[in-house]
Amino acid sequence: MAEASEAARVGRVEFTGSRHELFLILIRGYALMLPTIGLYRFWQATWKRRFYWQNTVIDGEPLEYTGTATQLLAGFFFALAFFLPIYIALFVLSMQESSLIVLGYLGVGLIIWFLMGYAIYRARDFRLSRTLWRGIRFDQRGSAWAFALRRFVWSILFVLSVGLIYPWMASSLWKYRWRNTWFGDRKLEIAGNWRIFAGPYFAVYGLNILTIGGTILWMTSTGDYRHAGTSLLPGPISILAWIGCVIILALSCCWYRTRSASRMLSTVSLGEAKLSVDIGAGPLFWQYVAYVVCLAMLLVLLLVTFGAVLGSVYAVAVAAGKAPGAVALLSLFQSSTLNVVLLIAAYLVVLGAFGMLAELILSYGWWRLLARSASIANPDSLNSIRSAPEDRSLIGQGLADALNVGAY
Amino acid sequence: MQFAARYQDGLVAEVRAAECVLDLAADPVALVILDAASREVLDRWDASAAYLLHSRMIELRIANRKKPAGARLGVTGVADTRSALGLLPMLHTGQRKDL
Repeated sequence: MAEASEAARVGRVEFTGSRHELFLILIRGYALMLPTIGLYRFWQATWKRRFYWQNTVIDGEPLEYTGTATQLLAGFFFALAFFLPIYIALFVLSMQESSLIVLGYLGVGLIIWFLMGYAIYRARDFRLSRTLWRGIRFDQRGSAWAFALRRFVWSILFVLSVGLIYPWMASSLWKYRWRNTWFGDRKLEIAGNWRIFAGPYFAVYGLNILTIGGTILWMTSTGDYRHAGTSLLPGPISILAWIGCVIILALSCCWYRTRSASRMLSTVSLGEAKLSVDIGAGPLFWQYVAYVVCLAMLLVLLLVTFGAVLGSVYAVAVAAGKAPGAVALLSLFQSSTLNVVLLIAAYLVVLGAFGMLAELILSYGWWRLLARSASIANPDSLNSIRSAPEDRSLIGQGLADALNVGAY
Repeated sequence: MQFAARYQDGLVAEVRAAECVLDLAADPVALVILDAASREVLDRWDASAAYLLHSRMIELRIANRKKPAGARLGVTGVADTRSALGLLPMLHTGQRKDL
């Protein structure tokens, strides 16, 4: 588990959870979601977190998640009360004249964007304050409002600068989060700055502008396209070029994500203990490929199932002596409570299947990749850290649930 | 009967290798946690206040209602797990509530 060396011992991080285990948690969760009109998701989130946390073993000791589903549920109800005036305002707004509607929706959109920053920070606070390692609790201090304001102002600058300001924005937000993170009575430090993001970000930015811009330029200059009504369709060589653009975009985004996360996280320290992370871009890229392949297979499966159901209904209609036409077939799907229920159930199954696939391949994959590529230098220096009391606030996570933000 | 465990007192972030034995003469019955190397007594837990936490499949994590919130015993290995469950039968029913 831990490698001894003469200079400083290095503690390894391992991930011991299997996809099969997570699959069972997800299946049970989705199965119970329907009869509980979605309320079971708080229990599912808690089980999922327990799975991820307790299987992440740092220097021989697993993380522990102590949050409960009722805490999430109570937070969600707080958030609902918070959002009720906004929903009422939206309802009243929808009955005004069109120019006022546009302005109103823009205002509400900005308020929600601002609140998302608050929710992201409080959700992280909730998770950290319910995370134990070696029996000591983590905590997120600092102000969620200050973080939300900071994120909001940076977002405006991001739009105005066509994304060029992103390295400074990312660095500022990372630093605010990590410099307010505590483990027991000791504060974490992060030494990384905008330079860490700038190199990979501008490389990816430039490369993709070149490939996409070049493809558009080549298409228009060679005339390798045809008109289909009002829209333009690329010609055979342009299609190949666009496929190349998508592959380059996916590869470069994976490279950026792994590179920036590895370099930034490798500047995190806790006193004498230093975190080191080295995530490869290749494994992440193959995760995305696996996700796309599985998604395509799932779509085919759903289409085949849908076709089989439609075929059965058609056969029943013919057997009942109805005219075998499209109108007759459609009439079978109208004016029936059973049909509505079946439609809702089918919709939920499709939604659940997509969500499960994303969780099983992407979320699980990223967590495992991150855990297995991390190590801690000098973990014995953490032995003297003392515990701090639990932060029992609820509303932050609730807001995150209501806005559907935050991770894991 | 005794079992080996990793012990944390919930006050400092130090994990110690421990041996746990039951003191039946104490009132209430106590789980005595000894340092694995020196046999020095690290802590005494009221055995009836011990309960199981959620943990990965290959491990038992035991907490105690009368100790700090982060105080833990981590037990791995088939033999030690069996011994722990044998010494502390209330662990079978004393699982932390999911609510």
